[in-house]
Amino acid sequence: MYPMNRKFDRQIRDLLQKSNIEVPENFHKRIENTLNMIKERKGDNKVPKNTTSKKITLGALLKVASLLIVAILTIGIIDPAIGKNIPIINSVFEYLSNRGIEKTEYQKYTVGIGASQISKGVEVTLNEAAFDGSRLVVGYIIKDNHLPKKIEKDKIFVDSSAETAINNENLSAGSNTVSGILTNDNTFIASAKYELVRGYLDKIPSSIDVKINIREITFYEGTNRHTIKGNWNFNFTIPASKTKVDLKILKPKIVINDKLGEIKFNKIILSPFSTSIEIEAPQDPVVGWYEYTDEYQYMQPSLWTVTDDKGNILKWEAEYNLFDINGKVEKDKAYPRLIKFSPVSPDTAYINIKSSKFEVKLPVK
Amino acid sequence: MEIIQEVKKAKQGDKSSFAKLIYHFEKDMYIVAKSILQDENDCADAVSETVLKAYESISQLKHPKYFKTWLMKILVNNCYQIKRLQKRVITVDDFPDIPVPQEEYNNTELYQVLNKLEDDLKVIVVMYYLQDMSVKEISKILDIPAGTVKSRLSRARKRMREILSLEGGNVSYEPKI
Repeated sequence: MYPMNRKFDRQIRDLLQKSNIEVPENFHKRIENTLNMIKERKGDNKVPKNTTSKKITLGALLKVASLLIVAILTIGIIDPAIGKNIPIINSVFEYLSNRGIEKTEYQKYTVGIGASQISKGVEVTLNEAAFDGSRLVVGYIIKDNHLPKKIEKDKIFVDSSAETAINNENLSAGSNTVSGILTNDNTFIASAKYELVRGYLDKIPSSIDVKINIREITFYEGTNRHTIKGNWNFNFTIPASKTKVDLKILKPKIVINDKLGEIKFNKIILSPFSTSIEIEAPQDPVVGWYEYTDEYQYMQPSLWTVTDDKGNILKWEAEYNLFDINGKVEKDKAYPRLIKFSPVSPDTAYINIKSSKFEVKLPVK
Repeated sequence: MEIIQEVKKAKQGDKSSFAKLIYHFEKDMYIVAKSILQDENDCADAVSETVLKAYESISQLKHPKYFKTWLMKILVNNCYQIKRLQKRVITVDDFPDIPVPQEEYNNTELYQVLNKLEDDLKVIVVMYYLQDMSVKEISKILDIPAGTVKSRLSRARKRMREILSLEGGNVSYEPKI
């Protein structure tokens, strides 16, 4: 016989409440940062009904890169001391980190740029950049006098479609992840991430030439989309002495065999900002590119559960095709792709990947 | 801390009172967020959104005594929104027969029991047993009928009994991991 519900409830309540649950430091820190941000808002002692200062959260925007080769014009280092319209904010990364928006520590890899462009009445300042050999992160300050009028209660997402390249190696066409804050004076402060689609730089040159051409900036208010088309072109050079490329590259040579085709895990690139895994796998021939019927679902990396050796989940961030999409999907053909996940700690021993059909451990030590 | 007094002050724009309230319910928010999202960064994202939204709309809270219920409702909505955006990601907890190292704070056999419950039961169990919320409060927070809350609680009890293998009124269990 089972105990009565009340007795069971009492017992469960006692047992659960005895569990020692402690609030993790990062959770507490986020609350603290958010409350600090609220504290700094103008209009103390008054709860604003229509606030003009909003935290903007992320919309992860995947732009699958086709192979665009962009010609690079190297102009040279833009000296921050003579850059136009030097923003009052010294470091976008620090500003966002203090407000709990940006989580990764970029300080070791950051170079000040301080270059501004104005197009269609919108001023974009490239404040600073950080490059770890695989991912370029850029701090932007965007001023637009029309911004507040577009703000309602909902979140706003910013998307910049950009032609970008590092040393002739194409970066992702479009900002992969943009996160930022809209301040009271019509200014949007954000960081954008660009992935080196080929994975990483083969070797560290004496300098790194970066080209970012922004063609449009898009703001979303709920489902309403506002796009400003313009030309905001940035070319700058980062001397190797001013940045640090810190990569670990492994070739696991692991193959999963299945009747639908093989999945080959060819390369793992560990960098401070991300984890990249290069695979070759079939695409679904029934529905075409990027779509998967139930049978092929396990080949879809965004559906994989990826963890490190301590059980921490690695978040899927982006995916890039390393081939030309030309014609129909060929059955049984292996198509190379690069998948980006959140970074792992340096002492990680392996990455575990689990799908609906297979589980594999990729050693990274 | 006199909650209702602090809520009244926060409604008038007192940021310090608002902060006190948030810290007071910090652990409750963590427990609820964790029951829905599991990933630490997602929990932090959800709570950050919740604090902001709560600050921006606290003037609209009609009855200060319902502050906790109201705050949890905002949190739950944010958690489910994050979950919806990630609906294509399968969490490790969906595969309970594969042992995964748990984080230290979570390393209790009873939390392993919780992790074996379906998502819709987990959050109700956490609110009912850990936070001593009533069926009515849970119904308001999750925006589901009270009858649904009761039937899910009933399912949860049955499931937990199976997992814990209760005998003779004494709680005993054999961990499956």
